[in-house]
Amino acid sequence: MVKITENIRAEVTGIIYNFFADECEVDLPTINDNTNIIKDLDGDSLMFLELIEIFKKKYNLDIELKTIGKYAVKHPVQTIGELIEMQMRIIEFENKLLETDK
Amino acid sequence: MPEKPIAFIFPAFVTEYPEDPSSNLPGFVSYCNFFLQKAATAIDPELIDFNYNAKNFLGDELRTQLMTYLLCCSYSEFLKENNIVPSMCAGYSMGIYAAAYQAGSISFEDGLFLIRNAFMEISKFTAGKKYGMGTVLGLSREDIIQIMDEDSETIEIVNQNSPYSFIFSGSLEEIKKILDKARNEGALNIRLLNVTIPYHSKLLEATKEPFGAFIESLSFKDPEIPIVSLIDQSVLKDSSALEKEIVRNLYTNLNWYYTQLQLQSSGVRSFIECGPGKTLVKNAKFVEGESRFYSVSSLFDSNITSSHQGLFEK
Repeated sequence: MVKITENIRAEVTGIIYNFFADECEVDLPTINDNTNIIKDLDGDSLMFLELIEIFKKKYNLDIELKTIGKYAVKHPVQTIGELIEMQMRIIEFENKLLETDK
Repeated sequence: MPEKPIAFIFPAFVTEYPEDPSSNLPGFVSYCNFFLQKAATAIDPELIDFNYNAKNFLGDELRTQLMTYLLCCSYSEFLKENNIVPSMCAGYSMGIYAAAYQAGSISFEDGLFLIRNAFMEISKFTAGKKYGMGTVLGLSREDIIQIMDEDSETIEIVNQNSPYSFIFSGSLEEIKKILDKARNEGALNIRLLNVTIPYHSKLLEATKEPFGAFIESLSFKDPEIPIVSLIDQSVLKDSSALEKEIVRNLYTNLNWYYTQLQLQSSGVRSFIECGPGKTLVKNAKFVEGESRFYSVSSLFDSNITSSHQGLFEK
């Protein structure tokens, strides 16, 4: 379990913003928390998976992909801001992510 | 800086034409028009009406396959004209036909005839039945086998793109069921593909004899460039091995993930996706190793051309 600090939040936000700017070939300043990942950036699930792998490595997370998948069904992500919030919960709760719904 | 050796990799048929390449690939259009003319003469006069921006033929499964093959051949010839040549190649699913053309084993026209004949033979065996294909992202093979065991009679895992990306073939009803189950099991994404044929599954084994007989009527040459099999990752060095691969390709499970690893372990440092779109490039992000993947467009992007000088011998 990683204790979430302001530094981690800023780091995660920076990684996600830069990731989508690179992958979707858009200027970084055009992305904000309300940017719709599919409609505005033409993002896809492979990008989502790639980001998960980035954070799993960076924070040495113990979490199964299917746990994230089950969580995502209940908490679908559309915007960059929602994705950041989901990543924060993944980092904080790892494999206990689904228990946070109980 | 991309390194040699280079592998050309050819995608399966497209479900959309994602970008018009004429703006950043000067000269590509002339290759495309050249092959359109040949294809219209050899197999289907209406193909000459293809327009990249009009996205025509996407609702026609056979013409989509023919167009994808034609575009793949156009891209590979365009690259050769720019002195970008492969040391090896591989074709994802129906991409095997473009790989065979690129390797010098078959003529462009014979590739068209192979695609049409395979489609016709398959259609005979699937007529009146509802089949389909689907993809699952985010589950392991073990997870998928577990949900398949319960009541799947026709479902097979027919291809693997990465450790967490799989493709199924089977009856349409069972495909839909398994996609639902996969979603409930925690898949990050599920998708029903826009096809009516259960490619690469045992359901198509009856095509073996008629399609094999058709292939015998064509003139295959030994590949000038080694082609890696998606069935068992062996290197197809002679015409006989390639002919067998093309026949078996229709009804045998493939593994694209292992094929990429095999190409990499054979020394390939750069993979170039010769076809419309960049599906293979996107999937390659989950392939471990040091090799790099490029779409043709990315090689000629004015912003990054300077970093790709090593590929050009002119």
